[in-house]
Amino acid sequence: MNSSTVKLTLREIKNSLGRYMAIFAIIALGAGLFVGLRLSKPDFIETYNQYIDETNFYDFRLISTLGLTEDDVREVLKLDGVKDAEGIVSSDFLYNTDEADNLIMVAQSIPDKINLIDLKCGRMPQKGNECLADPEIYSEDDIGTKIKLSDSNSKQQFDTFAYDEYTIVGLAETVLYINIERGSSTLGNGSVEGYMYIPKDGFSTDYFTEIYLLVDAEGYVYSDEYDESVEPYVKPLESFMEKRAEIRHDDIIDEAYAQLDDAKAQYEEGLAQYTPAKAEYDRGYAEYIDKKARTQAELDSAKAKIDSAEAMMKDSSILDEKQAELNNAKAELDAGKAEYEKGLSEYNIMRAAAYGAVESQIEYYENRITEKEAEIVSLNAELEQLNAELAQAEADGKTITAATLRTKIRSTNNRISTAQNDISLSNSRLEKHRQDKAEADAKMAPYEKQLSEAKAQLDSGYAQIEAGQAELDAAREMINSGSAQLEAAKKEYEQGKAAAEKGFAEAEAELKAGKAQLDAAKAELDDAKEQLDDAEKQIKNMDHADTYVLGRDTNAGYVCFDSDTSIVHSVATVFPVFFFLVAALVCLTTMTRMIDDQRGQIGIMKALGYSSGAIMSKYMLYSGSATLLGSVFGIGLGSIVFPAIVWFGYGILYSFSELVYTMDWTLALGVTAANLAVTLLVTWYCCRRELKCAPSDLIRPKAPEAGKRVLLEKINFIWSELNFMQKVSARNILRYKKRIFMMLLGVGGCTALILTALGLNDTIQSVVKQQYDDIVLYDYELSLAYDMTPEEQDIFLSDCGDNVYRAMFMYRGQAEVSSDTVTKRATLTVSDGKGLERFIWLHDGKDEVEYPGLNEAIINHNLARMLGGVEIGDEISIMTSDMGELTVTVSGFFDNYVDSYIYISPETCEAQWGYAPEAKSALANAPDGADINDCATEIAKVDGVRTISLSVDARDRMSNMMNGLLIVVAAIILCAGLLALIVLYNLTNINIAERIREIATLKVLGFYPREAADYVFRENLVLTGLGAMFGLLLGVGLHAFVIGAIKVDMMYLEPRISAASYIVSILITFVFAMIVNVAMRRKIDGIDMAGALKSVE
Amino acid sequence: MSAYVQFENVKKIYQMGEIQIEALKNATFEIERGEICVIVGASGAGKTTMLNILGGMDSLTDGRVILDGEEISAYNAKQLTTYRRYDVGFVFQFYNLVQNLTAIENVELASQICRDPMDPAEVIELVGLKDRANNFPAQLSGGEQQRVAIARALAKNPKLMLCDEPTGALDYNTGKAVLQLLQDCSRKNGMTVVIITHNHALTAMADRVISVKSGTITDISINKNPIPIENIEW
Repeated sequence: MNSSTVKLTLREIKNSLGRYMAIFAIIALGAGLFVGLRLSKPDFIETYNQYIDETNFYDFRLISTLGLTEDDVREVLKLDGVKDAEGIVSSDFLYNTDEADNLIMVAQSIPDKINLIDLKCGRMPQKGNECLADPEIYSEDDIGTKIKLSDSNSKQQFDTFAYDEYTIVGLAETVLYINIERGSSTLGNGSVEGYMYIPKDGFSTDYFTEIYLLVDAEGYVYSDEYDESVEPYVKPLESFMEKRAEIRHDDIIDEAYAQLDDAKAQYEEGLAQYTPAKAEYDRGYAEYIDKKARTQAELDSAKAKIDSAEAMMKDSSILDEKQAELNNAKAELDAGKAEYEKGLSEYNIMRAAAYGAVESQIEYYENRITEKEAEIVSLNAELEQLNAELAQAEADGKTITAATLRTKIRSTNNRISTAQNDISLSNSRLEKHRQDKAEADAKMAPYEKQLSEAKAQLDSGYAQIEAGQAELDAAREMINSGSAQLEAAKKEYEQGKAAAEKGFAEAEAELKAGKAQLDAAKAELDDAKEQLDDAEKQIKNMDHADTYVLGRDTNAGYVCFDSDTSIVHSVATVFPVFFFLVAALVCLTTMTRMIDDQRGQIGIMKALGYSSGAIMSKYMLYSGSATLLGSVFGIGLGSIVFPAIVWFGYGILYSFSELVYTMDWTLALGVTAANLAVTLLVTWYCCRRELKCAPSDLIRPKAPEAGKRVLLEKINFIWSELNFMQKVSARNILRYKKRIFMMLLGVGGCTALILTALGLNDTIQSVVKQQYDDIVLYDYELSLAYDMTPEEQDIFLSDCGDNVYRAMFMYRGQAEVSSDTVTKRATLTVSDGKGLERFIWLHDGKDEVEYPGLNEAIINHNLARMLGGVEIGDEISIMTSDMGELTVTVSGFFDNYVDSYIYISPETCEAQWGYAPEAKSALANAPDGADINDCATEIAKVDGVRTISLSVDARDRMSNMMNGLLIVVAAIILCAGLLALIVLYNLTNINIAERIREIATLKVLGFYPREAADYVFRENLVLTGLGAMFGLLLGVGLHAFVIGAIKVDMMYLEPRISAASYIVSILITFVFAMIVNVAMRRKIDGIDMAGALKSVE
Repeated sequence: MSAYVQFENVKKIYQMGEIQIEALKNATFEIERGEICVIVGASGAGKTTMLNILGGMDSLTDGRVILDGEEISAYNAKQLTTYRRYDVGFVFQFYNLVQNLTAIENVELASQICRDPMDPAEVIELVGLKDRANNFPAQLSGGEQQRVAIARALAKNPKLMLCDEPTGALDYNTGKAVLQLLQDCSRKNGMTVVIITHNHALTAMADRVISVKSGTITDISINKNPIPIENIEW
């Protein structure tokens, strides 16, 4: 290659800029699309990775149903490898907007270290009642407005929050919610609208709901390295959490008991105050009653007196009557007295007779006994004297004296015994007399009593009379002194009465108040007692904490981002390969044409003695530079534009950060090298053919391609039907084999790409429709608090009332399904399957799928595929975390597009485990025409409902995700269209250039421009049509291939192309063909007849 | 009564970048109906330009061209096309047949857009190619191809037949035969034929000879006794 070659090449480029640009453009498009789409995922992941680094996205999330404490945070920090830990308070609550009531929002305390938030606008909260709002549902204009807890929140919610409303002071994004998914809640309709960040003192709880951890972990986001490096932390954290949960449980119970004891003590104190108060009241009440009675009696007697006085005043005879009565009574009394005195004397006589001398005898003997006893005492004293004298005498030896003394002693002794005899005799006598006296006493006692009673009667009678007399006297005096006194008495009475009544009323009111107070106190106490009992029961029954150690893979945004970008990646991997093929084709036709054009020049160069290599280098330089520039330009632009477009598409879902652009140099170099290799090879191939010829051959114009008859002419009935121009076109079309091939492949390729892209759109759209229109027929999936008996189910359903049209109860849970080689997660449903078709339509194409029997299972096609091609009759195992393993035989497959499902019957569990799992899930439908959300809110309030999830929400989530993908598809459609435009332009350009003499001839012959253009374009359109038809066939295959290459666990894509897509892809192709024709017509019009015909090629 | 073809002070200037090339300078001549007119001149003398202007393939810078009373120099592009379509037949040095059409189809290509065409088969027979009617140009010799080209021009039944070096690519005998054909056409059908050539020998067959040199007409001579082609040698 020398300077003249370079100069020649540059001039060549300048003169044929259109052709050069065609190669450049097609290469740029192919390389740009390929590299751009391929870089989308790495760009996204890098963006996310940086975002994660900047915001300190957690490695682990620790949750305990009993909450976590500062101690827990301190303790977890002591574990090996834990870099940082932060406790967070999080709580859902209900709020209202202008449009809807009781929406759900999740409030979190503002973190300092982990999962840092990104303030978008406004400022950070400075007070407890200020908040940062979710930019997804609030805009900058909402700053200053308030988010208020709705009245429907439970007491627990109100207790959790320190305030009832929070003023928005800013908007913030968080790494926890990178997509629009905000999670689910046990409140309301179960679907969380947004989040809100408030300072820690915006909550009134003293514990954390979760702890976020950063650990020493290596690796890029989503890398295996990362998964492996966090894996060793799981087990220790789990045991840590269990240990801490025990402590927490005990602490709570201790504290609760302490509180309970306090409360109890308070209660007791209250009770202790109450009891004496009550007693006092009772006593006061009794006093009051008594006093009231007495006062009343006094008043009554006063009243009676006044009354009688009044009566007497009115009639003085009453007084006389009374006096007479009194006198009569006195007379009667006097008679009674006389009788009494008579009775007394009779008694005295009787008494004397009864006692006789008994009394004097008793006295005599008593005296005698006393006498004799005194005698005995003196005799004993004498005896003692004598004995002492005797002892003296014997000692002195005075025998005589002794004898005398002895005699004296003897006589004294005798006297003593005589006296004693006398006493005993007297005693016996005395006894006899005393008996007599007792008999007499008994006999006389009734008489004595009669007498004393009579005496008392008489005395009282006289006293009464005296009182009566006094009264009378007083009355008389009163009468005498006139009514003034009466009036005074009356007045006094009235006053007394009024005072008494007032006193009573006051006392009564006081008592009543006291009573009320007491009653209230009592009620309070009873209440307190009940509460205490409840509390105690609760404490006793308190569950042990459930603890969870959750990794990043439980964050919805984290997981969705991975799967969403994977889909883009799948599409990006297969699609652009076809652009390569088309690009190579364009390059081939262009270079062939160029070298054909320049036969003469090549011949001259050759004749001048240039080597083949030198001649070829010009073309190599031409195509090579176009390719290199195209690759560099395409890759440079594509690596920014396509990721940006896709990012824009996913912007609906993810909006966490500005996209970070990356470059994969290996890929870029590889693509450039591949492009260069293809174009240079093509150029070499074209040149080699020409360079083989002798220079003389080359200088001579190339004989035009000979015309010949085509097969069609032999089919007479068609050929004869064609008019002349049609015949010409038919022959022309079939004349250039290469051109047919180019057009079919070029146009067909474009149509195929457009169809594939549109079909991808159809397929993706149909996923949502098929899944949520044909398969998921239920409106709600409920998670229940307990396994309901049929009766409880009936009660439950009647509680739900009009909000549930019908429901079905079953076990539903996550399980790991394993074939021999692979394990995948799927939703396990254990149900007898009766009536399931009204909630979930299990079908395989048009066929119903038979519900599995004992030890059988049915799974969806995609699960079978993911499990490594499981077939009917194969054994698979199901592992549930809470119950254990089952081994079942696959009995059928069903269609399902989103997630994976496996169905078995309860008998299988009973046979293998011995029991059926708890049916704590229910599928339900709202009545026709009812508002799904309103019903959901009502159902969520029904007793026994833990959570409710709406299939509408799932559908929306899915559609949103799909919409992101559609942007990718749109970009591909656009590129395919652009490609089609370039290919068509190029082919038409070549076609016209090749036939410029023919066209000039036509013009000379007097063909109008339109006729001349039609002559060319008729062929073009027919070829475009054929190419498009061929493209449809190619497209169907390519579409199936692309869909097959998109392997995502989460969803199953079934190749599907709508009729509209076929039509649209053909239409697009034709529209582009028409655009090219319009552009080319000017070129045809511009052909200089004279010049074209004069030249000798 | 004016002549059938009138060139009045026709001037043609080509603008080649900044250079102006005056291809024709005040060319004025007339051709009568039914005449065979030979325009003779060296390469670059401007004879082809004259033919192109006369044939409606090129425009003039100044002057007037009148054919049968119509001022074709005033025609717009569409009128010129119509003029070419109905009134002019062209024969080129390099035949310019459509390669993908057989001999008779090439004729049909012209005849099917005319108002009053001759029957293609008859024309093909007229030019002596009855047996080769269904052959493609590539299967025909140069002379045969030129006959097809003449047949194509004739079939339109044009007022004017314009031939640009019709024998330029042909050997002597074939060239003679082609010229004979043209002469016969003119004599039998009374067609006005204009032939451009650099070969002065051909002037003998013409009724009128126009000599051109450097864009200027140097001589116009009327040949009272045109010589039949077979008698002309060169």
